[in-house]
Amino acid sequence: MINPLELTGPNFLIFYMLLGTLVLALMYLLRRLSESGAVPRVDYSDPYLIAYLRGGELETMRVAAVSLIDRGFLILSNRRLELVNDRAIDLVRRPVEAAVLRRAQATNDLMLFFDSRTIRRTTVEYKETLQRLRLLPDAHIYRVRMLILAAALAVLIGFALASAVTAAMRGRYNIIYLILLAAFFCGVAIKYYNPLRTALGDALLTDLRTLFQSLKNRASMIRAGGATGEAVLLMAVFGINALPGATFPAAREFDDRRRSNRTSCGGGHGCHSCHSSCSSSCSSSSCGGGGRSGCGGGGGCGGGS
Amino acid sequence: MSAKFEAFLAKLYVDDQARSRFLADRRREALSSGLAEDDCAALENIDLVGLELAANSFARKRASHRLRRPASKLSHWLKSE
Amino acid sequence: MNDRFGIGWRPELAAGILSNLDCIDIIEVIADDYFTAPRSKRRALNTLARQVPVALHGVTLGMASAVPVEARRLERTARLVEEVRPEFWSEHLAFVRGGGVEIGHLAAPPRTAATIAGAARNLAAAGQIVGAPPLVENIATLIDPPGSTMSEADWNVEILAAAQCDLLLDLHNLYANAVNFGFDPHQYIDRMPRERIRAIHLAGGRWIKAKSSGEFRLLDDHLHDVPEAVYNLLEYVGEKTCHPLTVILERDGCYPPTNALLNQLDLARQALRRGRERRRTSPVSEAA
Repeated sequence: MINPLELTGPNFLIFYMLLGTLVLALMYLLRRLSESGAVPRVDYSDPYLIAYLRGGELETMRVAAVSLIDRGFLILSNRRLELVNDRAIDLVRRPVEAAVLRRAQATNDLMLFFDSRTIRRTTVEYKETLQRLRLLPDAHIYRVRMLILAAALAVLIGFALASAVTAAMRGRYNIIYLILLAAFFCGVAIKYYNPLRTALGDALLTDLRTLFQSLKNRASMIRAGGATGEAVLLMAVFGINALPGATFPAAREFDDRRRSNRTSCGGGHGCHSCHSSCSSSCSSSSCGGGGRSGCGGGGGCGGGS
Repeated sequence: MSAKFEAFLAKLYVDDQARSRFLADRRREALSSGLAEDDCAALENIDLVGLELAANSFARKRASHRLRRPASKLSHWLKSE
Repeated sequence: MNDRFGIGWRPELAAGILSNLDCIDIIEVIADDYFTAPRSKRRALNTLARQVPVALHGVTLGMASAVPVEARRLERTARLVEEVRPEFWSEHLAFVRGGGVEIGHLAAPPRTAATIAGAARNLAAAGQIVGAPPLVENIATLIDPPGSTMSEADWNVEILAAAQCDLLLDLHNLYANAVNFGFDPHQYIDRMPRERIRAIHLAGGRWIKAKSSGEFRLLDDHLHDVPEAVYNLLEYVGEKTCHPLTVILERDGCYPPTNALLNQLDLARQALRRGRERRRTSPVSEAA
């Protein structure tokens, strides 16, 4: 049997690349296995719960803002958000919406708008609910992820160190490619060890996208004004960019793909907020279903007319 | 009443030409399909209004199925449904 | 009385249904939409079934036929039932194909001893393969089935007895047949074994005109609101039955706002409640 530490040159690099890929794959599989389970019952009457599942606290706030603009409680003009009138706060049901409206009383600057602990506090309940349902990682799941990461880093760094020491003992000091590869795989492991959702949360979101695919397919027919709640549900499940810009011009302002990195990730909540912006902008790959409509699509048993 | 009778009815509902021939001479069409005498007698007294409406309704239903599932024909062919 | 009220699942109604599960006790899913669906859709259906009780409703088995239902069709129904674990599954007293020809919809077979025997045989096979017999639904028909030797009520009663199945009573189908062919729907309801009425369908339709004769008949198209006459029939069923019923609203298109559909469910609740109340206050109505 070949001792991998005896490999040199390109052979060694290929081996390390295979090792790194295997470690990342195992990380992914172990995380999925430890986070899978029976789909829990979820209350879908609050679309912001789904928005939080999809994109975290920042995304929830953005969806709330666009919904409030659509329903006429907020006005977006020249990248400034303004409250229509002070009574609007009494007319909304959800705490996150009330918080967004109160924020509009305090500041209009869109760039600073979501950097608000007050609004963030109103989304904590969503996070706790989703953690309780194991759709977002709780403390226990986070510990398991850390363990998996630690094991992965131990293998990657440990092997790299052992290889470097072996190479040095043999008078070979050109280990720059080893360092680069090790840094690359460790970087990928660190970047993706703690995604926003658990495997169960991913599965539920995928299923929701399948169930709501018909809504997405007819997005162009959704009327502005919020009478049906379909716009906010569409945003919650698929992202703000699922709304047609022609009917919902505010959606363009909040479109992930147009936003620059200047949007605040917030204070101590940096990681999840940045993950939320990444996951919502990358959501198109996991939107589920191409041209096929969602579940059903049959015509039922009504007579042909 | 038998499978043959149901098959005749199915064709009557779906096939416009078969229905036209039937309406032109009901007894002859029924006899030529090998149906029993009592089946032929029943068909001679068929509810003509209902036949027209049912055939049209079934046709629209089939058309709506095709519209809803454009890929279904291919999948059906592949699966030899 | 724990009556349940639900709605037929249609993708177009997904948003409204999932946002209002507190008002919906059960959802009915068209089974045939999932037989060849990709894994993602079937998994989504399972997720749906974890959120709200689901009933599966088949439309293409063609149970009421002298021709045996193909085992492979029953087997795929069985697989779906096993996967989804619905509250119940149902099918129609109809034939849908013959001689290799697919009709594309539910057609009323001749009401004869042969189709009764065929239906009983098919339902027995279904119960064996799927693991539970379906509820069987009376269908609407625009044509008086040729070759029939008995009334719809008698034919249905015979099938229920022969197959030992329960009835999914579609009240708009009953109403449409009653107005089209001139019988009293209340008498039909009175003929049914009451303990076998387990579920109810509500729907709407419209009048269509025959070009040849100018005659009008009522089409059960599921594209219109439930008419008052059907709510009245529901009230009558409520008066005649003393066990819980599952009432499902069917809508296949021309979808109104969700609130309008939920309002129709509320009207159904009120109708059934009135019937129950009438039964409670007038026990003599129990007489057969």
